[in-house]
Amino acid sequence: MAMKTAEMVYKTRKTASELFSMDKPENVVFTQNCTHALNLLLYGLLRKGDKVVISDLEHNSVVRPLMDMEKKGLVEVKVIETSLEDHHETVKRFAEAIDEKTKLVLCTHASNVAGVVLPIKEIGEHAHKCGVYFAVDGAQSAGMIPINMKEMNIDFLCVPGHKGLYGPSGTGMLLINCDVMIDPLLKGGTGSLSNQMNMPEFYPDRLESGTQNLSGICGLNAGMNFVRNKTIERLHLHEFYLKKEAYHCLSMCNGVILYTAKPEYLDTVPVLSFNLKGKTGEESSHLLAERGFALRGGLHCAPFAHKKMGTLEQGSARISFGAFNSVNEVYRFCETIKKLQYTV
Amino acid sequence: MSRPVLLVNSVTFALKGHELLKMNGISSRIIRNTEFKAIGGCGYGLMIDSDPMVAQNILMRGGIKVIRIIQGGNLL
Repeated sequence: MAMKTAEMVYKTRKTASELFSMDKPENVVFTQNCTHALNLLLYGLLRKGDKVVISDLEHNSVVRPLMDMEKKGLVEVKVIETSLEDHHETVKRFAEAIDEKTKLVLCTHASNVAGVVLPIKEIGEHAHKCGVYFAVDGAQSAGMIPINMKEMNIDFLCVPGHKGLYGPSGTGMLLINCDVMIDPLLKGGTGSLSNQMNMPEFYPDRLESGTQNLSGICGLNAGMNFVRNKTIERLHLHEFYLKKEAYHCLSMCNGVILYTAKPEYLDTVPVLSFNLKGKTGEESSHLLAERGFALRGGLHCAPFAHKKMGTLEQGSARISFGAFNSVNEVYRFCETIKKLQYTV
Repeated sequence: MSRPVLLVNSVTFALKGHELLKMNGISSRIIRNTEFKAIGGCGYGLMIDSDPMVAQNILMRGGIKVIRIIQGGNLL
């Protein structure tokens, strides 16, 4: 029974390593979520005196650990202003910020607020040219747009299980595609080298102490196989179509303020931010919730991104689309918005 | 007749090794017993029917460290 379970866990590591094109299944580390994976990476890799370069679209799961480390005098953080219109300009700004103290460049693949995709392959190329590690927060992109760790120069990829990979809540992964041995956040039993007092010097055991979320990992494997069978390209096409339809409709409504740029194929993830005129994000999403639509309102744990969009005060409502949404649902949503703009 | 057992660090390496050996035409069985625990404390072994040196080379090329090779429970 235990060996059967171990086989399933290993199968899941292999599925993930194939899905994201990395070499070693043993370098797929299971975590509780994407936040856990990001914390594991940041606290495990960075040392006193290191500099980290991040984008101005990062989630609090990147910003908060780094601010904590900066406050304690451990690291220096440089935040790059991204250009939402010009990818070359964004890459140039990242390249200019890297210096001899820089150990890590970390950026989100796609904003969880605006849905914009960053040019990670080119940013990673510059990081590697300078001998700097490159990490990507794939919270909004994993399973939604293709990610090839080798081709995109990604050393570390942090992903949640429950979003585009269709796994259960409470699952996530840190995928390591380089030779560095990072320190664990948790130390304890690993079921290996148990007569040693120190954590093993090999993955995944070094970073996986205690009983794993085995049922969650099995569910994550099923989710990733769903994505593989459907193919990320087909899923993206479907979600892109839904987003495009919703964008078209909302851009025609005078009572709606859109904060997301017109979606471009393979250069967008299926989230769309907006507000009903005169309403905050929370109020807009509440009005839609009363009409049967589950949206997230507020700052989406991404104050950097909202500051950039000028919505730090009011927040926004965010709709997201997935494999199980239909275009009819999008049309019903649009009809509801049209009615709402005249009644609120 | 006793068979050679290649000891590896973890169940993950045992499973990866089992797969690698299979791809190279070598059948193996993952085993774990108290003797291995005494060696590394929770170690895993790959019991094979063929030349352990050939198998060890395959595992090493796949990034798997073989801690020791034992023969029928005796250290080589």
